[in-house]
Amino acid sequence: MRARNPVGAELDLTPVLSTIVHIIPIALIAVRFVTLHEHRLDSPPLVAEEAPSQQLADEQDKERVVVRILATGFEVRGGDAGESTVPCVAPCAPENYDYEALNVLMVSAHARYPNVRQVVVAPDAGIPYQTIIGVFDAVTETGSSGVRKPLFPEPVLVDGADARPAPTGGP
Amino acid sequence: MAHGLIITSMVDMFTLVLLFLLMFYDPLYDGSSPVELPNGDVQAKAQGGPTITVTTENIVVNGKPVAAIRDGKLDAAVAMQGRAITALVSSLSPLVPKDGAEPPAVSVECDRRVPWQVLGAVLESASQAGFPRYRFVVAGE
Repeated sequence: MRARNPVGAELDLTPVLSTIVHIIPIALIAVRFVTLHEHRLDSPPLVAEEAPSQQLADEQDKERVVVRILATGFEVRGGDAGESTVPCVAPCAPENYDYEALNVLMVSAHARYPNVRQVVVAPDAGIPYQTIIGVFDAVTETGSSGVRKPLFPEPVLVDGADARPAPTGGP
Repeated sequence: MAHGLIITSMVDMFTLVLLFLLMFYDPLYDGSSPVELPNGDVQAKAQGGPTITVTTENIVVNGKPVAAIRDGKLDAAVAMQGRAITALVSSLSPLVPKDGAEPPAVSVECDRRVPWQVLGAVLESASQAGFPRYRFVVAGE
């Protein structure tokens, strides 16, 4: 009778190899590689009850940059620099907001207030999340992917309804 | 002297590749995810922590649905406390550290199409539950 595993015989790996070679393409088709990044917010959204009085808000606004996200584009209030509007480059959809122009405004605002770290981002009710993230990208950093400079690294989210300029006076 | 091809090293390599792929294989993934994360340019890598997932249909805390969304708005049946969602506050409150330690930042995985009126209610709920810091997860390039 012949020995089942004769000494010195090599293990026949051909079937194993064949199976693996078939499984790998199937797994490669099914797999998806996604890198996840994140924007960090350390301040809770301000609500109307916690909003400062108009007088205090006016004093704070001297060095506060506010970016309102409207259905028609961006509205930027930068303290002493007054107010600028950045309309959409096409009928307003998340990809048609002019993030590059906003980034240019943020660079000049950062040059005026180099020590300010916060920027107020105030979206209106119907603004989609993709647009908010686009604004975060535009206000927090500038430059190409290789060389990036921080602008306002601590964005604060405020409801757009609370960020409208108050008509007169305060409590 | 005849020698067969030595394929042991190749089998080793294939086995490692196979194990790597199987680790990331999701048999339930059918090519369409309920959450389409927005694209972002930010460089900070995503970290762990309690996760709130906001799809176009519902709000999920650590895999458990807590509130429904209809046509881009919170369902009329969702109970609110001011701007906060009652069920979301209830789901998050037990996750706050009991030893007085600073609560971790909540990871928010939100669909790119969700409007601010829903996202704002989610953030307000997290804040009321005791999580005042957030991490917005985005898909990197």
